[in-house]
Amino acid sequence: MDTPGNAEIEQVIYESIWNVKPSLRTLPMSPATRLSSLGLESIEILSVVFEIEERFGLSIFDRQLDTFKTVGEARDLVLRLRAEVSQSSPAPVME
Amino acid sequence: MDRRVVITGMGCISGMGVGTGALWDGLMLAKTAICPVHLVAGQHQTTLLGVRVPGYDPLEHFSGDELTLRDRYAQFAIVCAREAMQDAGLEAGEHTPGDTAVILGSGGGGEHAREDAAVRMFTLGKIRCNPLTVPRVNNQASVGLVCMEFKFTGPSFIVSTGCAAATHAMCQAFLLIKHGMVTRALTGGTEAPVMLSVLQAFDAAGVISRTTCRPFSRERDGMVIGEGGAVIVMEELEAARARGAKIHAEVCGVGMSADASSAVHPAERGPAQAISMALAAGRIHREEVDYINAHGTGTQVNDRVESQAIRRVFGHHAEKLTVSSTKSLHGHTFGGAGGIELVATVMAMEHGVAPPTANYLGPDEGCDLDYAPNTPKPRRMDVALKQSFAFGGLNAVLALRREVKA
Repeated sequence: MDTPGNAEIEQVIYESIWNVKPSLRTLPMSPATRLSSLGLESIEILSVVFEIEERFGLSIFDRQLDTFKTVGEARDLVLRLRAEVSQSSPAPVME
Repeated sequence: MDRRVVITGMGCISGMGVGTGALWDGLMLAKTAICPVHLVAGQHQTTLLGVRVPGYDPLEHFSGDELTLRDRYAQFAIVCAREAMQDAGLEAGEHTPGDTAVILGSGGGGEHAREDAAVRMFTLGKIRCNPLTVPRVNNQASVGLVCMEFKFTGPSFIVSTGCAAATHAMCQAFLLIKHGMVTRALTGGTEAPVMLSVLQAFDAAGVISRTTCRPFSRERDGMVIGEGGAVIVMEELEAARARGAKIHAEVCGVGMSADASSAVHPAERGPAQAISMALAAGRIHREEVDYINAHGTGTQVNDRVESQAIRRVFGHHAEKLTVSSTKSLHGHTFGGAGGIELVATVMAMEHGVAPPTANYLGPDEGCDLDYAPNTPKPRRMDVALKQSFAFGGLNAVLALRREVKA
């Protein structure tokens, strides 16, 4: 499986945000965008995290909820968790 | 001081479409909205009879942002409340927010979010729930959202007595105004139960029709589940008069009771007690009643017991009543049913035409009243009842007068 690049992960995070609050599609966003600046209620921020988890198959909620404030930090967290998952998984058997 | 309660606004969404006008047009056409609906959830699918609101597009009423937190039944409540407020001529600033109650009914609340969560957990094997599940599922979401929409801060709660929820809610709203706690209330109820898990459950209980909903008729074989509801603006009479409000009807009295006999089978005594209580509370002599909008589900037992309860209360006057069930046209919307049917009752009095009981094939044993079979029945109606009965034997009745008497 190809490993998604930074821009690809950022795009998925943007889509997760848009899925929870569609009106934010019109707002310019960058890796520096702070989630707290988007006018999201706490339940909506949890929903953004849920969407990111769903799209990457990761578990952020239990351990890492407070470790990111910006889109870029969320991207870095996704990269780190994906790396942890791939290290802890057994190597695929080549046939 | 004897405070009196009137209806000054109505909003409705039903199998006939969005709005009270669509409801009335549909009732007068007497063309049932019941049809086969295909239902899918997870790996399961089925087709059963049901009623959906035709042409309802949530994005015509709400932004995408708003919809993330609004399950279908709550959307219906807000759509109905907007129409009711407009009909009542109430604009922002014309009312005291703390002096308005919001008392709505719903049997199941956000059933769509609940089913989505169940499919995700038990079919897809995903243990983590969508964080929006709780605010969407909870039964009181519709009340909270209506309060937020209009900034009402008065007494507000949901009533969840299944098929009688909207009627019970309207009884509570009446009592709050009558006893001086508030000046006005938005009340009624909504439901959006047309989904696989709900219809399968009612089908398993043996109450879903295989043909159509034909209340009080021979060959009736059950109910048909629909979606929708209504919101009514109830108001203290002098406050309504002071602002020059149009008055649709007076709510004269309410009655409530429990059968205390069976979880599923209605008994004649309970409904009769609630009807008698509503008449007494409204100081209405039974000979004054012209029309009853019945619970009339189309099941064998309900329709027979309801007819007998009416005979028990009204005696020989039962022969002079017109009794109809509009569920034959818009289906049974559970916690929204009493609301839709109250709107139908008020409009019937205003137009002087009783809506019909559709799909009627002829009299059946124990069902021997005038049910306005198949076509609307013109008649003057000064006093009418709306009655609703829920599983568990919980009954609620509203007594209405077309004109406010001195």
